[in-house]
Amino acid sequence: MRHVGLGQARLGKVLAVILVALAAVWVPSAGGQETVTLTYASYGGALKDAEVKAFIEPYMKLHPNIKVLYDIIDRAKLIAMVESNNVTWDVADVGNDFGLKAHEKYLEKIDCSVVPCADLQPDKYPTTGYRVAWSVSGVGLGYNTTKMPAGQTPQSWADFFDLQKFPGKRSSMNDVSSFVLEVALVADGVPAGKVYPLDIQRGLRKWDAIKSEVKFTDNFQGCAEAVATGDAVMGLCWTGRFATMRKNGAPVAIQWNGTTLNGGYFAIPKGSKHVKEAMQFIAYMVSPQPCALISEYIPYGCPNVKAAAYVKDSVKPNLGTSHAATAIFINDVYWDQHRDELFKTWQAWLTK
Amino acid sequence: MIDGPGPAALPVRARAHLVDGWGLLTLPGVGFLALAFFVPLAGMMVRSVSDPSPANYLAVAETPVFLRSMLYTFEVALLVTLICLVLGYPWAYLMNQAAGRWRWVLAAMVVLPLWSSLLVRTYAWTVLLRDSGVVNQLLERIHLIGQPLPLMGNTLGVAIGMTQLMLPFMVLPIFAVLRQIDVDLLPAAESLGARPLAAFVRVLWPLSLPGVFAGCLLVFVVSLGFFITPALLGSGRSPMLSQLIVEQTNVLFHFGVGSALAVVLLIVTFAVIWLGTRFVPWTQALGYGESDRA
Amino acid sequence: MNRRLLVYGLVVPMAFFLVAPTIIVVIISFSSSSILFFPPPGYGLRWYDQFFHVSTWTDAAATSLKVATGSMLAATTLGTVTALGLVRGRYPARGLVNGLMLSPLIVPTVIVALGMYILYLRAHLVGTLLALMVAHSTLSLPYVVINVAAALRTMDPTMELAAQSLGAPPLRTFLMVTLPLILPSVVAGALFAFITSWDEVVVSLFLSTPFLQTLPVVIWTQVRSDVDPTVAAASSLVTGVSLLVLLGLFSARRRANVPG
Repeated sequence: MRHVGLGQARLGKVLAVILVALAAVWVPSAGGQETVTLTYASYGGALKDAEVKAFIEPYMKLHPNIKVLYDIIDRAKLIAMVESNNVTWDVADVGNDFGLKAHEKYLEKIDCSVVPCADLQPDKYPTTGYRVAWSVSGVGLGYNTTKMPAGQTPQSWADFFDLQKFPGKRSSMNDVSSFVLEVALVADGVPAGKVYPLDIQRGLRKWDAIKSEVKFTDNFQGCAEAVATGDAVMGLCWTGRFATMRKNGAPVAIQWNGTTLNGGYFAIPKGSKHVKEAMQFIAYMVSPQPCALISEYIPYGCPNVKAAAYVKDSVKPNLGTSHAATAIFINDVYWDQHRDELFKTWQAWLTK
Repeated sequence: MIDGPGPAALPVRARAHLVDGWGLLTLPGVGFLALAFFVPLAGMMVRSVSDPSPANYLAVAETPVFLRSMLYTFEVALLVTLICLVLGYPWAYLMNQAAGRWRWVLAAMVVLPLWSSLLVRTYAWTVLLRDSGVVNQLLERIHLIGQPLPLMGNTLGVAIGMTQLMLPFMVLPIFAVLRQIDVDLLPAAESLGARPLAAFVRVLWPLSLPGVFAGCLLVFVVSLGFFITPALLGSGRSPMLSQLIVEQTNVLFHFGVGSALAVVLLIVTFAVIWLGTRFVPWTQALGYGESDRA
Repeated sequence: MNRRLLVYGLVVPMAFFLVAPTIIVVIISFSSSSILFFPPPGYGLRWYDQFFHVSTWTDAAATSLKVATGSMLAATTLGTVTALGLVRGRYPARGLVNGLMLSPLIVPTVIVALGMYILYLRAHLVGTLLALMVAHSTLSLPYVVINVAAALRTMDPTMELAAQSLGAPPLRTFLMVTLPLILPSVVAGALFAFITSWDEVVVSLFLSTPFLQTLPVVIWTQVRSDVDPTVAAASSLVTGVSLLVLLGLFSARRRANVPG
């Protein structure tokens, strides 16, 4: 041990006191960590309210050193951010058409030791390791209960395409990524599990028969509203919209037979400044209880197999996942490979 | 036609420069646009040939949907411009003739809607025009029609929605120019024996042309870029070009193709305007062509 | 020209046409239902309450006001000066330069928005009021230029010449003679500039952050996800305020006894 002079010893003590004081002032919470601000990007509106209640507020309560900010998702913006090396988002709700092979270069690899990847049914909700399934929704057949012929209600997609049995206008999403072709094929007799690879021409021929009676729109809300107001007797729209309108008293009901199911996905933009914390946040959101909680606020299912036990019975009928037996599972990998071709072919048909 | 003072009409330095004192005034505006607008635009234009390659333009040329959409877009823009001119000129005229209070009322009616959000107003049109909407309900109630009229989900709906939004852009420029015209000219012409229609066509109309041109240009060009109104009021089967550009950029992430479409639209629009100024004697209205009074 | 015919045949139906959607929006804003049924099943003030109590809305309204005012002032000043130069100046490639000044109107906004976003990202300006004001000014500039240029072309030059022959320096001539003559067009341009910024969605979406959003951005995300009548309330409030402003301007002019 070196011999420390008196002056140096006093200096040492003073320094130690200063350091301890600084530490006491600087270290804010019991956890002894700095506040980390995560930016979570999603679709806003009603979904934001649901996400705040089911995910963000509980998570911030559990982790007082984490603050979560909400921003509006735009995938083009995400790509631009990553390309310019100026990433401000940490967790992004990217949708089922993003995050596979075509977009891996924009995303961070998911750490499956933190996120329970295996529980998320990767056979139904595919991922190549750069995105995490967190919700399940889809398009379905909604109909106006006051505009049905006596004693009849549609039983399947075949009825959607049957103008004799169910006369009247149809409302439909106008983009092929609302699975208009899958639905047409099933209506034409193809079993739900065998629609891929899509026989595009067969699907278009099915649509030819009713084309003149369909109001096409690219607006999620407008699609379902047309059915609610009776401007259309049946609609091919995102089931969440139908469910919410029904809950608010509109005369709509859903025929769940043949509803499509696809996942919603979280991803971490490449170059995020808080990859570790983002990963932990995602792991929280897809774990059984929080994931099941979202369905109380918005009619989304949860891909986590263990979540079923926590979903409230009262919300179950409104979830697509409760009707999985007759559902069409969307093959995102097929879509990733053929998206351009599908868009082009459908659009050429639609605008003719 | 009354024209503004050309460069030689006002005292100007004797030396013959390429750019004179007045001409220098364009620098701040052009410079500002160059930095704040052309630089980002150039970035995207470069993308149209580099992301992934100039084959983007081939894709544009080879896809019938794009060409059809471009044609349709110009059709709609032209239609809306014509309707706005036919409706807007009389409105501007009346505004000019009206006494104080009524002028404000007319102005307010055309300008007030501008303050509420475009999105909300377009949505309000769907409430009015849909099959179960207010207009159809009214017409059915007074037994004018038996079946609802298709007032939206087609070009009619788009034209109605866009006209309401674009009308102020036609009315205000025309009104502003009419104000400068001597109020006594029309009665003077009539007192000299001209019939009212002739007085209008030969006296008022030519004098108001700069305003008309400004209004038409504004309405036409802005109409080309609409995508919210056609998305909500139009048919999903006849997209306008901006809708397709949004789809390429935000849904398919083909930034290169989207940019190529934008560049093509830009070039075609300039060509149309240039053609228009060849056939109509409006070349002097905005300084196209030779610098006059040389 | 039979003025009465014009008034009843044209103005009355047009007035209806112009005003009907705004009235619909106001009625819906008082609806008790969260679905935009028309006519509403019941009435109440629920959505106005929502607007004032959710800070997102009031913050967004304040931001929009700031950005619109700033970009209006910038665009009007710059645009008027530029129009003077364009109309009266001598400079090369007239057609091209005039066309270039129009280009913000022509180029599809989504492309510009993406380009601007990338540029502002690199300059670390995303999420600043400055970025929004600059972006909106570029989009508004053509409106001012077109209007003011039209006025300059129509203007009677004798007043200006008289002033100059009496020895007034150019700036004075401009401020005291030219400007009052072209004022209606300048005001029209300024109005369009304000409205353009006020309504602008696409570029603003790209340049917004959780801390800085304009009103159209908030409305857009609401409209896309769930049309709830708070949007109608926001819209009606704004219409109401602008009506009051117009009334105020009108009575101020009357008191000042300005003709017309």
